[in-house]
Amino acid sequence: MLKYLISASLLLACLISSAQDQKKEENNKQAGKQKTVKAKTDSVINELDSSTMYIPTGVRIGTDVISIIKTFSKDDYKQFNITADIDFHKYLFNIELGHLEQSIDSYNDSASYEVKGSYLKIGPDINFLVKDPDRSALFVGLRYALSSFSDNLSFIDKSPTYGVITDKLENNNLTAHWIELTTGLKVQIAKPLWMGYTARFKVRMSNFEEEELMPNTIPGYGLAEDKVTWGFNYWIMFRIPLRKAPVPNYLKK
Amino acid sequence: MRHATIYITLITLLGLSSCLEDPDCNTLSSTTAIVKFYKESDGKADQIRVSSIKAEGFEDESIAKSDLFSSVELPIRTDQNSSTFLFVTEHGESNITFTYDVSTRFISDECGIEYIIRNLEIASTTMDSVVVVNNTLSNSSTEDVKIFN
Repeated sequence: MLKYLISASLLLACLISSAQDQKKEENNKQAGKQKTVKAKTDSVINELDSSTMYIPTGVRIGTDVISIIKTFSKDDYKQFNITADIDFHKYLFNIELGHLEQSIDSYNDSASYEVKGSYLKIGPDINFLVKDPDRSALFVGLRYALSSFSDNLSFIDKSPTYGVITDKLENNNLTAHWIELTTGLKVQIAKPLWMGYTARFKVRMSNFEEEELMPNTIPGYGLAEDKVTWGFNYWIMFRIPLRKAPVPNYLKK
Repeated sequence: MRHATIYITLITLLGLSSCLEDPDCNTLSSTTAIVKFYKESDGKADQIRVSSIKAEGFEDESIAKSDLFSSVELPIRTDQNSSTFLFVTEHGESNITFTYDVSTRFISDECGIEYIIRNLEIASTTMDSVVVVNNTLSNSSTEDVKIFN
């Protein structure tokens, strides 16, 4: 239930923030006599734009703050995420790379699980704020993700019939695939500095039920037993401009 | 854009709270095979007098005490892919060897581990008729193996 509330509020917040921007632009509305001049300039710029609009204007490179905080605050947890996106008019192409090392012990110390692996996510976003002069992005998108990981489990178990069982099981270089639906926001904070978030809905395609050791965690995906999981990244990014693109001051009528 | 920053911060907090995983220790898997006895003549449920049921190699520990039983629960060995049970009943001495696949899973720090027993089969038996009716053991199952005497 909590998860649905959160996703609903995410959606709401996205809508509100875009509505606020529109209001702001409306407040900036100039007097009607300049309208014709503006329209002419716009049409010229639009023509220019259409010939060059699919040439990328910049690359954003960033890292996920949540995984850094978790790395420092949680014991036996190391995660690192980097992201890069490049714009092709209203489409953003994303590459994300990450690495996770985690170990979990059961409270009664009878079992210890370790997982270590890297993941790659690639896919496009559609940016709904393509005309924003700040080049902010409010997007929905799709990712194909794969993770290559190894894990192991050491445990002691007591059975009334068979006595004490001690064992160590491991998987080497398993590969998991999944698809993600993404949505989020990227906004400029200072000149090169950007912040943003990506919320993800992940659907697992790989199945590990036949393995002698069924993985607990898939790096980049989450709990391996769940067919769908949620994810969230909070990015700090830098934008490297590749070309100066004309950004017309679009006015609302 | 200032508004957007505020929203981002709020949403981050919400996002962090959703990262907290709720533990759920109710596992569906089971490591005991439920065996029910039937009459070979008419296939009806039967009660038999059992002297002892033991796991091979662990004869000190009796799985069932001397009594009348219509069903027994056999604990499946999780550290190997076969278990043999020795029966001494009113029909004499007999044994069953099961083979299966074991998957082990770490559930969570709170719940520890669980075993999933799959592809349960009868490898050999000296009994007349034994049938596996449920080859993946689960908590909700009421019958996994039928023994006809």
